[in-house]
Amino acid sequence: MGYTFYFDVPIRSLPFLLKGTITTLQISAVASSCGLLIAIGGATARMSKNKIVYSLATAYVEVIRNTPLLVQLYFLYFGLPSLGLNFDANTTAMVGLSISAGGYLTEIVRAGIEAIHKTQIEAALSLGMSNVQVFLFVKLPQAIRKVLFPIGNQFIMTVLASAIAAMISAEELTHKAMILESRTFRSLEIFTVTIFIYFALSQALYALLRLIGRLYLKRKYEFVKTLPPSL
Amino acid sequence: MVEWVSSFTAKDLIFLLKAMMITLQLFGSALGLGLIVGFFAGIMRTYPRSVVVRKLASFYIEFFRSTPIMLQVIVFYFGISLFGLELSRGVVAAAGLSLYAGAYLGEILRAGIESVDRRQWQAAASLGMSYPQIMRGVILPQVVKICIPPSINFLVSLAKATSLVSVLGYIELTRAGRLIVERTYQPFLVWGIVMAIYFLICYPITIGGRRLEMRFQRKEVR
Amino acid sequence: MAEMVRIEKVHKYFGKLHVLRDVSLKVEKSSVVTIIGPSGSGKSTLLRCINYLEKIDSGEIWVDGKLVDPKVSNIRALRQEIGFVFQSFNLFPHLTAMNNVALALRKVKRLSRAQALEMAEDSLARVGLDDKLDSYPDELSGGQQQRVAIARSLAMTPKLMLLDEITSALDPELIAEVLNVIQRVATEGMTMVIVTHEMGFAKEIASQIAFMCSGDILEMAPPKELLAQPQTKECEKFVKAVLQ
Repeated sequence: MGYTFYFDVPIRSLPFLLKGTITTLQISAVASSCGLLIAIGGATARMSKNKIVYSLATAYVEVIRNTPLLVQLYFLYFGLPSLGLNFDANTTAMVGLSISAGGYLTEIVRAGIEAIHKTQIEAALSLGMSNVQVFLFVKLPQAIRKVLFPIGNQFIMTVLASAIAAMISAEELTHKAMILESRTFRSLEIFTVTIFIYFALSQALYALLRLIGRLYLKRKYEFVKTLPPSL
Repeated sequence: MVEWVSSFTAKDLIFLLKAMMITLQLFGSALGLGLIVGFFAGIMRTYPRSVVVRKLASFYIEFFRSTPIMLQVIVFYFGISLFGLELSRGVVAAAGLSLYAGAYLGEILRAGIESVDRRQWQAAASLGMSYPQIMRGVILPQVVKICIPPSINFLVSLAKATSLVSVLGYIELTRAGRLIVERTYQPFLVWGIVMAIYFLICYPITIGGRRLEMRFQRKEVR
Repeated sequence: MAEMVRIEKVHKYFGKLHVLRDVSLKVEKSSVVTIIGPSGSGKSTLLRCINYLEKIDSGEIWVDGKLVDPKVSNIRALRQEIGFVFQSFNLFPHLTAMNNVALALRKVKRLSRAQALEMAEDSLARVGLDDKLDSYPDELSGGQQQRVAIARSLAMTPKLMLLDEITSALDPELIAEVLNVIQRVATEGMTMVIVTHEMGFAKEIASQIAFMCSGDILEMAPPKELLAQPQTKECEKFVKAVLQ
């Protein structure tokens, strides 16, 4: 093995990589928020009795979950300009990641709402509460508790998935690493440092999620990491 | 100026289908290797006699589940060249993906092993069985059945993950798609076909997994 | 009208299934009617029709002189007068016992926070749980949960209580505490309709027992009479089997 490691390159360029990390978090945050909005609509559609609405939502979810994220991003990146929509790479990444996150979050939100036992709603109605009150004080609090951790987990998955957006030139962490590599050719060191940045990031985010869970739920819950991932 | 744009022909479709075969091969190899790696990872993760072994396995699983797959493949690719091995990109790609698969399958195995009631361990131990005997005779046979539904779900993720080795320049379905799009400028057509092919690979697995889960639950209720 | 509940010629279908066949029933104020019968006879369904959790297909149900029909009466207002206790999953899991009771007082009866909490405390004390105010449902036993559910309904000062097999999902040793509470509420003059499998309890507490079978009330009589001298074949068979 005749190779000397030069870790000084990525270490010196940490500020450069950190800028990419911030962009990563920004893109992921926007994508997750939009994805959540999409998911609320999607979940409602997936619980609807209207066959057309139900089928469209189901098709959306199944396509997202059964095709690779990279292909979805390429689809948008190469396709949108031909429709006259010339977004910059970061925006395209946000759109693509939103649509992808929305697909997974739809099922998460739906599961959270459907998990509320029928009797809960009947008990609330029997006390004389209106439908709106039942929603606000019984359905919503319970749904939020059930989806809190899965949504947090999905956000972290989005942060990891955002690395794929480097392939469409979004200015996030992995892309910055690739630029660094093309300048200095210290490929192994640069990408190793980068992957550890992601590792540290996800560990920190999981710790934060556990903290939020403990504070909001006021109880000690054992959070188990859930499969499957999103891609 | 000559326009190097040509139209999408049947030749391109055949190219995509051939690339699909490469994707399937890649999927198969990564899965095969991943099962082996995952098996060891799962066993090590639950090895009762050594904290060090458990922590090593735990770190491996944690690491490959908390980092982007694309970077795993890239780091693996550059890392391998350190050892002076002249491996084809396909082998490197499959090996890289098998580390990812091994981590997830190992976690599935761990969950399966830990779900077996403690008392079965105690009963087997009081019969005088050793750890390997207990694993082989009592625990693993039960665990296999438990692990199948989540593993099927994971297969879909692995199939989608094969698209990421395109960053290495390895020609599988996604890379092929990109090459054709750059030549024909028909993004919706080409990517539409590529997505459809992936869908046709993944969706049956998804459905199969769901059916298995339902059959599984029905058996449990008795 | 001295009747709290008047059910007249009610029919109900679930799809093709004729669940309630020409059911008529009168419940006098301050009396307790227990409904017994084999599974699937429509007991719970009948109860749920009284507070409009289920819709009837024909016939009329009157509660305290008001028709149970959204076109005629305000169902929400009516429900405030009716307390309903379910078999399971009664309590809101995200709220403490105190807040479970106080929620409807605040949002439906629009009491102030202080008033609601005070009433909630009283109500929970009445069922013997004033030491569990800040406990969450999953920290309580089944019997305690049901008592909180009863307290929650009682806090609304209803005129009528409907109890749907409230001890069926409980472990045997927890049933007594719940039945004691119900006994006390009954002696305080509450009108109650109780669907139950607990024959001993039904005998003790009821002014009348109604026997339901296949969607119809076949017999109704004071407990001593019905159990000693059932008039119908089905009732006789049921009573014999249950009193083993």
